[in-house]
Amino acid sequence: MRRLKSLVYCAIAGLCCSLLASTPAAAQATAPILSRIAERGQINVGYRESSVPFSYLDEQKHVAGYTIDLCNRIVDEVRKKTGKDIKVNYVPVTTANRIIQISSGAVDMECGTTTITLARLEQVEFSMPFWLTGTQIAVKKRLKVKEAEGLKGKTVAVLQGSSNERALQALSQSKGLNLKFIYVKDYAEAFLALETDRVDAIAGDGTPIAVFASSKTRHPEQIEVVGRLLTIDPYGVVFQRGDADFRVLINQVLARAFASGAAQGLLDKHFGPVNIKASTDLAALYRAQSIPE
Amino acid sequence: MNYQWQWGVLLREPYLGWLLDGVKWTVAISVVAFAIAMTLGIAVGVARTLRNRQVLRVAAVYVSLFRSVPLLVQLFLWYFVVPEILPEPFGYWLKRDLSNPEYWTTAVGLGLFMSARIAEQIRAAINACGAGLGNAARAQGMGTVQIYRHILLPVGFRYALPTLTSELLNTVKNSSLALTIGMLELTGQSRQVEAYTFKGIETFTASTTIYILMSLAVIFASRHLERMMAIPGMLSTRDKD
Repeated sequence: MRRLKSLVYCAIAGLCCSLLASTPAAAQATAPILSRIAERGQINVGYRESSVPFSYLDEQKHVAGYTIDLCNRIVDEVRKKTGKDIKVNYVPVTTANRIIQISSGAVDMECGTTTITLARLEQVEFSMPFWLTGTQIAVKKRLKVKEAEGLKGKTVAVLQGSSNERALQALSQSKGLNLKFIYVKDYAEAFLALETDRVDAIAGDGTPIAVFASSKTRHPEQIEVVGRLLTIDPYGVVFQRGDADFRVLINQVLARAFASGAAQGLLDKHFGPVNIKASTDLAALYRAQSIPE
Repeated sequence: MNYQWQWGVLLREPYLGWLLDGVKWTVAISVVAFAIAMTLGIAVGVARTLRNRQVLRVAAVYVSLFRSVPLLVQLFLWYFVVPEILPEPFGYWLKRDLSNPEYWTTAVGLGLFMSARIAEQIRAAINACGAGLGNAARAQGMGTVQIYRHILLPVGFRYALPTLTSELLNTVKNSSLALTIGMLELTGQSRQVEAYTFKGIETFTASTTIYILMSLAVIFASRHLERMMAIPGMLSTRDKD
């Protein structure tokens, strides 16, 4: 019994030592992300399972989407820069765990639908925005709600930790709407809750919920996405702080994609089938970020 | 790793309040779930030691049903499927009119899941009493109800107490699955705090500590209970430890 105990202590002590020892080593390189990708020969790309058509698993369970295609261009550039055939390892992330996955270094870059915020910029690094949308609500048409203010006393599904949740919380408080919130993991669960009448509305980013409503629900004709943009949500690629080279590389790839029209091509490819066109704001964003060589 | 530690964020409002709210719900889920688990667990456990064939069969089906389906799946079934297959008004009541549907779904679902485990332990504990005790009681002229009430259950409980403690701990820890159906208990609130502050490592360290403290409190209380309830001569091997 005593031997077992000392064995356990040794194991714990060993674990602590290895944890301590591993910390400083990782901090030394000047381009920590690029060098760790080159070292492993693999890049860990975070994706969302159901953020259609930005980042999702298609019918054949392949990771696909507009953001994923943009990120593939980034991976190509990383291959060129490191001179190695870097493998792509897709890691599923959720709204709730994406920041920790990035800041802990488990995921090298997240390619989904993450809004750039000033608070998040203290924790992680963002690329230049590649999309522009904002918080809107999805409701059943028979509810006849046209703005979030019409939801007084109603139940709303939100993704835990999303900027939409915060926007609705703030609106509920300032206008005395007395909204009740149900926390869901992703839009799939949110629309399940809406279709089974567990909630009256979903608050989410306008583009993704419009896409989901029209392509993945059982009765798309019963659901509509309504309301003004309650927040401005620019999406960016997320990665760890402290690697200026990696940031430049990502922004170069994006700027070239905007300038060459490749981004517009990807937009047509992914959003055409769900009948969504670039808004004037988005077109302006593409133009403004077509930075010359 | 360039991580900026900021423990202070956990003491700031509203985050501290959220965590405490999470603790409150974890306790509320655990208490109700364990009460359900004990009540049903004892009933089914006793049923599994009776001589009636029909009762035995029903109890066996109950235990294998709730033990063989993963808890997460059970919670999803209770939360997403059951309201849809019930007649419309009942389903709607479960989803909307019932206050805190997520709470009650978790508490009842977790309680039923744990009850199957507890039933097996109660059965084992009663069987551990041996045939002698029961036969001796019957020879004294006691009826079945009296035998269970005065002999088998009191002795069996003492055998089962250590494993029941583990089950209570499991109930507390399993309550964290409630977050998958949107219940903001301790783990759910930790995620919420993480989402707002991006201080996940600090937050989850804090909630881990809270879970450990809760477990230690349960272990301490049950040790005390075991000592208080001990019958001299019974389970005497424990003294040598």
